[in-house]
Amino acid sequence: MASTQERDLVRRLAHAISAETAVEDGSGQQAIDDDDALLEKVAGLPSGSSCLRIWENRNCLVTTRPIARRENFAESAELSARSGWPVHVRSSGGTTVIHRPGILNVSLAVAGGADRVQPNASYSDLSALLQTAFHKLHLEAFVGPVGGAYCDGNYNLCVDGRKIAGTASRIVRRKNQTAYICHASIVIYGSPERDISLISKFERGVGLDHIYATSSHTSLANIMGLIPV
Amino acid sequence: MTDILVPQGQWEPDQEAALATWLYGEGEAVQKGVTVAEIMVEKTSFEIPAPASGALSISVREDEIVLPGQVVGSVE
Repeated sequence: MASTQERDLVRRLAHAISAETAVEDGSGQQAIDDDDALLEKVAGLPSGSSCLRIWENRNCLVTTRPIARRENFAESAELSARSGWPVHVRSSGGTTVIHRPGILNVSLAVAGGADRVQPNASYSDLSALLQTAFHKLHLEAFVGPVGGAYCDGNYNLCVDGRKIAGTASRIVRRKNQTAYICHASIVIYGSPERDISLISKFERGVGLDHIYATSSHTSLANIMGLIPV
Repeated sequence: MTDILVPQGQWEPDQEAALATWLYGEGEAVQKGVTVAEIMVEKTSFEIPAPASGALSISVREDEIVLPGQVVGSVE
């Protein structure tokens, strides 16, 4: 059960990201699929248009299509679901991540116009938005890889050298327009150790032997001194 | 027969791309324009549309590294 202070942190960061955007309560796969629907919607809007979602999801693991096609996926997903962590599938890149209360998801879809959009450009708007939000909380966040982190990538958001948010993006071409969506999962509170344990158990079940380090991750609550690690 | 090609110019030359997923199986019927495969670059996914309608033939397996312009399959 989250403390009042922890829930307040969720509200504070969400407000710092966008005071006008309400935090949605997600319901598993539908909340993930809503990102795809948002991308399709924005792809039909004039160039330069954008839409922002801020959302939390129920307890679940979220993996990628390639992992979902691995042998033993169904068995491993069933085991995870039985322990209270159903496994859903997303269309963006990376590897398995976790969604739960205490992890704030932010999705920014942009109508990019006629020109092609490079992967690094698809991350820049959301990275800047989140860095500004962290700055409002007097924290400096940097973009970069963190060795040992789950779903590591070059566009993580990091504080004090630890990963606090993972990102992934998807770029599509619709008619004469390129549209993209970038998604970030920000750990506000909760145990990175438990998150890693759940992800690792599922991934071992599908034959992946990634080793993740708790010390590569942090949470906003930890940084703000609410939870000692 | 129409080749299915990895798109060109959509990511930097030094970025590694992998064929992440085939969304249809070998021999399955596909319609022109539907997404038949996805490419992954830096945790960014790109779609590869079917260039024609017909039966899908797959020549590159999932997770294999691919280069822009490479033939990864065909529609017959």
